[in-house]
Amino acid sequence: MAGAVILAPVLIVVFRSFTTARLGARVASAGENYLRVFADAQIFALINNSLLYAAGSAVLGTVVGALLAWIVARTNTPGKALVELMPLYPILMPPIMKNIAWILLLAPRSGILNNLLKDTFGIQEEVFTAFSLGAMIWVFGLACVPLAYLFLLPVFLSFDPSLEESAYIAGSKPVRTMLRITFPLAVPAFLSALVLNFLRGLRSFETPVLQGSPAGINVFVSRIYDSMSIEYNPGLATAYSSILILLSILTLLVYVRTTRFSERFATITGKGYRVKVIDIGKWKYLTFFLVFSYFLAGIAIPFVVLIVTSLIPYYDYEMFMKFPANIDFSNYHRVLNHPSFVSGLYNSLALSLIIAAVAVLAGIVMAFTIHRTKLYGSKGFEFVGTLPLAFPPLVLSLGLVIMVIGTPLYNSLWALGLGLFVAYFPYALRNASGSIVNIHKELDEAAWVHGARWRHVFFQITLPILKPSVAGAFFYIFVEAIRNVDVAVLLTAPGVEYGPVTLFDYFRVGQWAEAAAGGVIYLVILIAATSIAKFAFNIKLSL
Amino acid sequence: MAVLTVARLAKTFNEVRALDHVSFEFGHGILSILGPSGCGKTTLLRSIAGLEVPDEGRIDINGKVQTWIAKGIHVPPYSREIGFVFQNYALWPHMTVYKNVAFGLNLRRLPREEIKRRVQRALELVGLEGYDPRYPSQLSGGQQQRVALARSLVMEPQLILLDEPLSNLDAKLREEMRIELRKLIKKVNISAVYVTHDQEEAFTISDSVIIMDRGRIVQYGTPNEIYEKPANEFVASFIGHSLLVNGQVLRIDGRTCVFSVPEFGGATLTCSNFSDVVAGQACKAVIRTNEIKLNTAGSEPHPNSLRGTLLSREYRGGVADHRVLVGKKEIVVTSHRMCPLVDVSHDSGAVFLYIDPAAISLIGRAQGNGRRELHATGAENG
Amino acid sequence: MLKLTRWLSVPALFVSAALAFGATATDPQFEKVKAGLYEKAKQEGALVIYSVWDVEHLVKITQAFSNRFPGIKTSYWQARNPEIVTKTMTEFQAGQASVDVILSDNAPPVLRAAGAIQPYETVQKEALIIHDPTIPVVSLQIQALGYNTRKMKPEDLPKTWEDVASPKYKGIVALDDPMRAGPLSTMLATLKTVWKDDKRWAAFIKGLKALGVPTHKSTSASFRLVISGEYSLAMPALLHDVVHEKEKGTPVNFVSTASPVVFPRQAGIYMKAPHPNAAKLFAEWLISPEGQAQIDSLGREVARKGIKSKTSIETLFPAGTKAMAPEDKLFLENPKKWLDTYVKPVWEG
Repeated sequence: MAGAVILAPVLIVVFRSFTTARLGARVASAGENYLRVFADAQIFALINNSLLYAAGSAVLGTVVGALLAWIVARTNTPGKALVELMPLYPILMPPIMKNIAWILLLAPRSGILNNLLKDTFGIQEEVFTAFSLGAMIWVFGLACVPLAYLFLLPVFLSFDPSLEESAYIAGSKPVRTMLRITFPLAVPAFLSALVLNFLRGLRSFETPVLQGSPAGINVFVSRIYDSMSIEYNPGLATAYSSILILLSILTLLVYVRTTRFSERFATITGKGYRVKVIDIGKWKYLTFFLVFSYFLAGIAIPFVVLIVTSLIPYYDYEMFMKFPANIDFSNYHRVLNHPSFVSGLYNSLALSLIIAAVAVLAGIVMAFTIHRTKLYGSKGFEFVGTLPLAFPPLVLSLGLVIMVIGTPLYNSLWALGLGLFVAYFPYALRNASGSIVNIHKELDEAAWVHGARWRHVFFQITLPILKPSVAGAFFYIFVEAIRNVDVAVLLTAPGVEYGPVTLFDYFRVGQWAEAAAGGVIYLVILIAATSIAKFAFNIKLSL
Repeated sequence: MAVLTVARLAKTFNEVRALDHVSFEFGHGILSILGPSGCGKTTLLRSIAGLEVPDEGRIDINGKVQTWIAKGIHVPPYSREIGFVFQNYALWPHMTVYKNVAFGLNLRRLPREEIKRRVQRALELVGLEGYDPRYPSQLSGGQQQRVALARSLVMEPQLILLDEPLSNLDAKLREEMRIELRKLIKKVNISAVYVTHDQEEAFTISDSVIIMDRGRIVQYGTPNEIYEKPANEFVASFIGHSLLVNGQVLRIDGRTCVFSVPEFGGATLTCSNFSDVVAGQACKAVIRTNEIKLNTAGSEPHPNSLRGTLLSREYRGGVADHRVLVGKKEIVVTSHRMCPLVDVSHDSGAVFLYIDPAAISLIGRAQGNGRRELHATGAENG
Repeated sequence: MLKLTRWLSVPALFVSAALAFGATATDPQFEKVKAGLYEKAKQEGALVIYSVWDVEHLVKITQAFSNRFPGIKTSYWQARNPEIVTKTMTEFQAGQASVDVILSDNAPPVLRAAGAIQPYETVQKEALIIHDPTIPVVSLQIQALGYNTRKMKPEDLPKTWEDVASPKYKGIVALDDPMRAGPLSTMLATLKTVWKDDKRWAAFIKGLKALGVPTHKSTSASFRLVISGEYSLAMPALLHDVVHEKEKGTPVNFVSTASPVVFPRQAGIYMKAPHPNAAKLFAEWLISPEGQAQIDSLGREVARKGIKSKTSIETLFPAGTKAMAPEDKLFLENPKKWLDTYVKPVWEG
């Protein structure tokens, strides 16, 4: 079922790529679009930039995320509750907001950091620049951290400490043990996160456009966007995406190959154990500092910049430094009086909750089918389920529109929900796959021989054991969906509003201050929701 | 009636024959399947449980067909009514001990009271009364092992399958559990198939033993039979504590066989365990070294005595290993430390080795590389 | 009873009427067709708009329209141009009678080229600054040469668009990407027609290239960078942005001697519009003095001649300033092809 829902828009999009020109007004000449794509002289430079950017930020984000997960799960770093939560908050920051904040911070001439250096130390050089490959990787890499953290935390929390202990006994030093034993065991989840972050990087739009193109660094996605926005040619856009699809499939093949011997990595064996917290001595202050640094860079500093920006009449360095003498609430007044802000906010909250729940459940069912049943062709689902990630959101959104047009779903909130489901299902699937291969098959088999059938194994064994990572994926998809613009935009309709689309409009028309104000409102709601979930209801987000 | 009948079972993984037309029949008691890793023993066990679908063959449990590939029959594991204890215990980490044990009974929708009674009884049986509210992570390895056992026993199966259940325990606990496990299985009076790679464990725990190598059964018999008369070189070397030498059969005198060993400088030995050998034939002799007696006093003319030179001696806990050179061959003889037959003052001197004829088994060398498929009880009813 | 409910909406009516009549008189051409269109539109009963305009603006405009013409239920969908074109074309191909009016800048001509727009010529064409015989022009997008007043001394300012291509502005210009369908390419298409001098035109492009500045894909983002002082000149900015920011006290202004480049914002009527008369009424009303007053109140540039407002050319530019608009048919219908043919060889050469 899930497979069909995913496959339909994907097939439509692929079919569209073979139809040519002007929105398929002329449905003919297969291959013409592809010919154009591969005849493009700049294509290799574009691919090169895209790969550097995507790989750089994926590696940065995933390594940092894994490190943070390990610190939180396995060390006696002080301030446990806070430390657990700090790596999660940055996820709440909408992507454009991050770019705005970091451009304001890092801009060569007008940026806060360079001016601070000038004022404080008299350094005249432009030390930082927001417009470079390095800055792009920095900003997007920071955004990649929470996903890796969410993927890896359950793994570090759930595997057998005896595996580590035996290494200690064999005389291995803690750092060595971490590198040689602990991290290799987390390889499937790590690769899952790395692959996902890499694919996200390949498709990401805001950072390359806002920080890359001013530096002359053009990536592949901007060409796709051009073919959509200059030529209005989805066929061509899809043909360009074919390279993206190719890259994605290659990435996935590498991933599947590496994790082929899934049992080798099984860490939840059904041999009971206690999660062992390692006393790292005075190093615990360093680890606290690391987590706190990420918290600062990932959300606290950009958040403060955004708040200040939303409260001053306009941004330049002098205005920024005059705060709070020049405080001004007019931006908030405008945003809260926006005609569709409140209803859009409500829609986005409700829909994101539902979609996150449905996607996570479907992801587990599919991962279970892939890894635990011998159903014919089930391995193929892994690819199909992940394919939506290979498509630029707007192209995917178009496939969905074509799929539902003419049905009663069209122009309804249901269609929007379906679109979000297709877009976020891959995350749920990857997450569930990474976790299911971590559960040793014996746990299933033990249920089998004690009289359990598939449904019993699924509901009484797999699902409860997966709960920690399910909570993580749910949280992640919820937060991503509640900020979605690209997929939602074609599926919104007269009377069907979606909060983030409204908010993005402020940014589009250049009203960064209002956009910041709206972003701050969203962020405050999300932070409050997260904190309440964590503390008041004791819902464990990652365990 | 046989509890378990396996006929011509075959299974190939990626062109490796895990099971090569295995057939045997097993009555009642405890059967060990013994072999080195990769010999197919686990695949055999999993096929019996229904967790693995073989490519060919038939499995009957208590006279009921469970798998019969030719007829397309494969009863799923949940309907086989067997017990299975996994190597890693496979306790569900999110359930308490009680819930782990009650899992199968709950699925059968038995009345609450009965479930409770049976779980308590099973936990008592394994000596874990009062542990029911705990989680597996709060138990020691041995306790987890017992929970896994209780979980299988509570279902009252007629056959319980155990896959190297003790391999995760430390040496001392393993020895204790071995005996306890045997007692327990005997007490509830069910049949068990026990997979292990530890021959000591297999010999202690079971009534009969199957030795497997490369997907085939190489010997099937009681522990004593296998110990006394290893079917071939492989079995002999696998069960250990033995020395393999090439020999030449000189003559057969009724119940004894006399042969010479070129490696021992052409010395002749007499043995009482032999079959399928004729005079003049080349043979292999399996000598159980822990039955060799060492002495410094010369009694060379005595039959089955060899003269050697003591090279060194190592004390190992309660026993001592003596390295003795006989002819060109170095032999390690283990003796009890407290009653040394060798005078310490005679170190590096001459020693005499007495080998009881019953401690030697002869294997004809013509036996196709020493590996031959055995159909111990001819259970060829597929 | 009927009267009473109508009286309830009097305050709103009063406000919009006051705005309308306070600003200008009525248009006789509109008055002639108004009643007939309203009659038919009322029978259709609804109006669906797709637009790139801010939701706040759409809400105000549709409310004013509904108050003026009760009985027509309005709804809108707001998105960016690519999305509007994609959605509309998909619906067009699927034969869906989904939308009536496409209110946007780039989208209507592109949709027209694909056959998804039904031609309609406004009855008020005499009053318009730019007229398009098949799609009513309801507002204008006006490009202005914006600058940061703290970074630029008055004597250093360029006087014309062409001046910006001078080496003395090296490194300080926030330059729109000329290879995208954005304001700069619109300006280039306009100047090419106006100048009728391809050498001068090519020299201008080469001069811009020689500034050695990065190109931006977002006008709004690059204008932000001018405000923050990262760059000093906006090549180009949008007039209403400059005016809006200036009102807030932001240190920006524009060079009034650089002729404004205008691009029409149009109300295209969809080929399969389910409520075509409501669509026509809406387009005519927007062009009428009353509708124009509404548009002006939102800070958007009016399309009608003779209206003095805070964003109109007549108010902000010296008397006699002539607005320039792109007229190249290829550019309007297939900007990518036009860019590849004319700009690309010069820019990349």
